[in-house]
Amino acid sequence: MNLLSLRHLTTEFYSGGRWLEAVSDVSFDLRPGEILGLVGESGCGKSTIAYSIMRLLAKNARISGGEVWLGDVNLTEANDERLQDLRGSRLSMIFQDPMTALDSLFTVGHQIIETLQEHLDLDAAAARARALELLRQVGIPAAEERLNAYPYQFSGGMSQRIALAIAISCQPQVLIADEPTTALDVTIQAQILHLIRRLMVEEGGTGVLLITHDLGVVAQVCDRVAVMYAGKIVEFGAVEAIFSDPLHPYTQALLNSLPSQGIQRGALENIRGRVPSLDDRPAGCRFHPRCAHARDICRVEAPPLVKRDGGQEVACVLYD
Amino acid sequence: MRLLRYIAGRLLLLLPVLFGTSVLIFLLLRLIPGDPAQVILGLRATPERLAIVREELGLDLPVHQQYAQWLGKLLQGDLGKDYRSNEAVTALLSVRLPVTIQLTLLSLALAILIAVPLGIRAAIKPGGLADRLSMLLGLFGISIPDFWLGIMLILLFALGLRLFPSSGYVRIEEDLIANLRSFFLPALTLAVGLSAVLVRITRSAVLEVLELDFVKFLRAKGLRERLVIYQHVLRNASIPIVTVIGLQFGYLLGGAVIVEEVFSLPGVGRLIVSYTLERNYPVVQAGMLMVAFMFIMVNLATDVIYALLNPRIRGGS
Amino acid sequence: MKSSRALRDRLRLWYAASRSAFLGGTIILALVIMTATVSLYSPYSPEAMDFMAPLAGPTGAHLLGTDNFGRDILTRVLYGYQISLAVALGSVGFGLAVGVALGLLAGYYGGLIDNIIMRPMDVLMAFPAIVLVVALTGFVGREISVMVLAVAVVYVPIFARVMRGSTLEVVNELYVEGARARGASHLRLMLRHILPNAIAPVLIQASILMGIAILLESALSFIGLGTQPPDPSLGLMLSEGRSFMQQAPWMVVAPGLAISIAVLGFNLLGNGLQDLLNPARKGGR
Repeated sequence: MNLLSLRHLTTEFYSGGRWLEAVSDVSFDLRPGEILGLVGESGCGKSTIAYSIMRLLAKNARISGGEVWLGDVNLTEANDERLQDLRGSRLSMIFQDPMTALDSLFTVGHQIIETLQEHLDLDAAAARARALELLRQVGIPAAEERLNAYPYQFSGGMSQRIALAIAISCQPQVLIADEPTTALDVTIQAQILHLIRRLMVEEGGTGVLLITHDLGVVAQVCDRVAVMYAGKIVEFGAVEAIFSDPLHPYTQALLNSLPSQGIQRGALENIRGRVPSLDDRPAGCRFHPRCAHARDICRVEAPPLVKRDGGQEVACVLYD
Repeated sequence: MRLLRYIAGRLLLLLPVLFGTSVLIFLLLRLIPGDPAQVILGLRATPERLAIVREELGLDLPVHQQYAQWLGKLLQGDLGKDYRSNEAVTALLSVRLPVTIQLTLLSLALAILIAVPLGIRAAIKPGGLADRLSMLLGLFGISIPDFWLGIMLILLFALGLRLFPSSGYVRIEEDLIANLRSFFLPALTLAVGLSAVLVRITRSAVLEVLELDFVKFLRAKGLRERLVIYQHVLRNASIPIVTVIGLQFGYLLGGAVIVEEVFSLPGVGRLIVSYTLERNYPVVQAGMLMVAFMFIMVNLATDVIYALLNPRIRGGS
Repeated sequence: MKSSRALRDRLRLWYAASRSAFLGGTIILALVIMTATVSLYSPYSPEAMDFMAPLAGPTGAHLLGTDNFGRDILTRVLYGYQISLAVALGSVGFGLAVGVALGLLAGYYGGLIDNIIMRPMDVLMAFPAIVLVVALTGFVGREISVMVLAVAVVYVPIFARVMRGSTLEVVNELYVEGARARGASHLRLMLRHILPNAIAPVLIQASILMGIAILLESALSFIGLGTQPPDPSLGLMLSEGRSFMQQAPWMVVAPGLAISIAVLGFNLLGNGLQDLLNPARKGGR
């Protein structure tokens, strides 16, 4: 059974008097015990997917089609009360900037304990004990004292550990991590990624949806990866398959922009053109204006995501 | 420890303001035309009698010596004597001050009770009913003169419906219920203007906090919305709200002058007005000093509350 | 025909830019025209008493009724606006001139001059406006000119503070630096380059303070320290009406409503201009 299933998810933003699609017809499954990477440039809709799953979209956004299933619960149809109940207990999320994710006026202990008491039937002493255990689990030294400390007394890496402690406090089935290491130093990045991986193993069977613009992060920890471009998944499959044999021209360009043999190349500068904005998406394959292999058909027809020989799925007419 | 040092720092900053205030009050009443001796003795006093009284009052000394004398006495708690009754001004103030303090505190409480919940609801649902109400309150509350509002309330609730007394004052020690009844309309009158300012700042402060990342994280961890808003968002928004309350307290004190007049409450405001009319300098000086002192103290209290709300200043663990 | 359409188009444009400013401006303009021309169209004089019709309710002859001396209330209200507006204009004008000069100097020179100018302003601001105005008018005299000066004394530190703030914002802008590099004198820099670019927030503040001056004038007259009888001041009419409010409630309703409408006009105008100057803050009001 899949932990999380997206079926034809489409999400729109209201802007300039009309609704514009930010995410178009996205489907994938998250399996128990895996880390699924969702990778793409900023503005490609990957964070919108996360907020659609959490049902925490901004007021000017809506899910206009498709379904999101958390096990046997249809999240797209759940009411506010049910959603509030599921968030933090079966479905958690951590964010990009750990320094702003915590309420600066409350101790971290308070912020862990309030989560525990919201979802679990724990008395004050038991909740406190569990909070201590969580802080130790995410590697906060001197946990006993740090429980009474305020967020400003922690570094970015430590804050992200605390956010993680909160997110896993009720042993969720699904954890969504939205660029969890982007705001952190490189050395701290690796620590946090390893922590996520370790916790997932310890918790047994939690699935992680890791959103990132950084293929390096994907290579480090992910099992499978979905590559997104302009609101659509263009390639999907096992990390080894996609890194060794990228099929979609966009994936190839992304991989080419990675620093290799110590030579840092400009990120995606070698793809001509730029990411189209929401109100300016080309017809047909959305990548065709920037694609070196574009044919006439690419201008009119959007190719579906189809499984290929290498094992991965790709949306490109080159492989028909 | 850090909190104490912070408060001490604030107090130190207040000293020059307090000093300046005392100089200003003193000069204000010395530089403007009018002779207190003349006021005491009346128009038909002889020059010799006037000179004697001036000497008694120390008015023949140079201004800076007069100020030094006045300040010296002030520091010993001697605010001078009422020209007319020859009573100590401190005795007069001890009767009048509690009325003004109770009036301003009750209006402050009422204003918070009206404005903060309304402002929060307005921010949660922009364009909704609460938002429209808060906009109307924010606009009309500062446009309607408080003395007129007071008269209208008297007309409606005191003379019309007979729910509250139209004027007068019952001391709190005598009868608490009657005391509160006598204060309700004046406090409400004064509260409307303040709540107009407060509802705007509450709305915009809450809107601003709602945009912050930590609110998203609170919701992502499934905290019930009631706690998100009334514990986390409100506590964060209360920092600007408290600051504005401190600044607006001067408005309350000023409004008290008028509202005490409308409702015939024997407070410091009415004291200043009536004793100004009879040029009773020591009483007016003392009254103004009290008003400025209260305003400065409230601002100190605001700073302290601000520090208590903010763990960075308070000093954690 | 053509010009009337052009005017209509322009009005529509203003209306779209800020409904609030348009509404406020319209209210104020209407009041100014009505009060300036009242002697031309009102059949009554503000002081004319009619002992045959004291405390008469609203009728065709007296649209807002009469007071205890049989004077027409509508006429007195319209004349009352003359005093309100005169005090407001005078005090705002005076406070603005002095406050802007002080704020400009403090913001431009900074340092010691800033402290010498602004610290006394802080002390002045430690008093509630009404207390200061009561003391000044009470001791100096109950004339319109004293009232104007007293309110202006309250306004000087407010204008100075706003002007200082907006001066600080533009003093390091490129065009100021450029003029400085071309050798412009301090005076020229302040008057030609900084003042025009920093004055907008002051003018918005002026609109709000016009409203507050109307409130202060009527409050002073209400407690007997402002306009003296038999002059028709709105605050004075209110205090006279209090003795008769049970028999003749219109005596207190009309002047209070009149004050509120004028103050509302200035507040709408001020808020609207604020939105126009700073559209990003519109949502936050």
